Amino acid sequence: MTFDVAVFTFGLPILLKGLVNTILFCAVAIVFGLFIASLIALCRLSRRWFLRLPALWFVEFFRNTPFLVQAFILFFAFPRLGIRIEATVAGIMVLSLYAGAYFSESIRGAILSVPKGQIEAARALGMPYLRAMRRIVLPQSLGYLLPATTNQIIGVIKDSAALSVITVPELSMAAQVVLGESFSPVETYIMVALLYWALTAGVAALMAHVETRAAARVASPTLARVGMAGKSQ
Amino acid sequence: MEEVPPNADGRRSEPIVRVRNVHKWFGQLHVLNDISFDVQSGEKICIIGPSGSGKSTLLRCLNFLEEHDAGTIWLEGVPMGFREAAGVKRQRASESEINRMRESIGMVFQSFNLWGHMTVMGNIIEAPMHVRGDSRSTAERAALDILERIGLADKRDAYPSQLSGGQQQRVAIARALAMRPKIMLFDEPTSSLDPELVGEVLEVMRGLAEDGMTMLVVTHEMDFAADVADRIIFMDHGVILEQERPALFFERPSHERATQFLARILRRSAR
Repeated sequence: MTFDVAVFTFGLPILLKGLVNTILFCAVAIVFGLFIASLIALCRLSRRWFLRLPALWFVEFFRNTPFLVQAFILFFAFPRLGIRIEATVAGIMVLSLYAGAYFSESIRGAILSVPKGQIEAARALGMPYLRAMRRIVLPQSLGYLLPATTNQIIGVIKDSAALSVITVPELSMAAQVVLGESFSPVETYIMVALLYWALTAGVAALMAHVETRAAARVASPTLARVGMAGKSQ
Repeated sequence: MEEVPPNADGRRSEPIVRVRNVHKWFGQLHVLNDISFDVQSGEKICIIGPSGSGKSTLLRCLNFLEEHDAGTIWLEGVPMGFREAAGVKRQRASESEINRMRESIGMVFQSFNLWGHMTVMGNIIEAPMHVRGDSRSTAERAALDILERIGLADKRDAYPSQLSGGQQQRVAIARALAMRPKIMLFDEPTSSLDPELVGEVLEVMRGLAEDGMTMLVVTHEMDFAADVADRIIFMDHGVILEQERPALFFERPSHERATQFLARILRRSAR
């Protein structure tokens, strides 16, 4: 097998453009996804069934069906409803919902990882539920939440490749463009793989940095011993 | 509404807490069965009884950490958790109403429940700042006063995990006091402490009692109950079997169950 170097010089600019789009779409979907996930997680922990059950169904649907199928459903459903929607918008929407379902599970897990007595103590002092979540539960759940979220962000980036089937112009779509010209699938997809890897590795490094920063900001006993003491909260 | 029963000194006054016909079920289990009693302002009541008798659940109903299924709990004449309306299905009070009422009820838990990501000072000023809206300087000044009173001012910058169990529970009491509650609920405050640390917590509680705080204490510390309580409530299987002054209760309990319970407790402490 020989390697066709010309494919690299020809294909790389096209793929880089695709990569930029992938980054953009994923970033938007992750932001929306985190917002959706927070709502879903709180609904799933609610004692009111009319919040809990729909949230459960939402998570079940997005976790138990292939992302590809979800993308098709959303993409074809809008025209049927008489709504014209761009493939990119539909793609970002379905990716956000999908990410939201996955993130919500780790947020729920993170909340449950904090002993119940922690929030009870806050509630007993008259603190409203959401404030207690933010000030008492969230900071103590970051050690659980951040690593889990890192994994899921990487998952979202990789799964976003499926959006090419509904003609969203992201990295995998760009690969097909390059392929159509060069007919060199091995070289093309090795480049694509390297670009995905660079992106996910970058995200992992960024999140590791965020974890360190969070650990330093959320005072903890271990940090207190190495000089964080003296700062109240 | 029934007539207000007279106090020990014969005065009739509006009780700070009034509990009437409260029931609570956990599934099939009838945890609280027709509970009724009053707490007068300044009164110290110890609730004792075998484990599983519903003592903790009763305490947790008073600040609505558990919702009672029937009956009414009034705090200074205001029903807790539900709106009163004659003849209609009871309606849940709004979250903010419940929160406001909780501000005046301090609670101390068996497992302390100090917030591990905050210092002692952070734990104490959290609710005054973020619930009541005090400024940081006001909250810190008040917190230091309380810390000095319980002898832990030098621990203000320590984290809970750096403290002994006894110190943690004293800080938990300080955290509750910082909201200037009208009544303090103690849910087995010394049960998870090593024996040598029990004394320092009870000492803080005795100090509070002397200052005139209204206190409801679920406890197995019979000496404390005998010394401090104005009244003993003895519970078994979700029912209040006796309400009596400690001298009378410990001398000759009128129920067989109470006699058995006391014998068991005393045998354990004699060992």
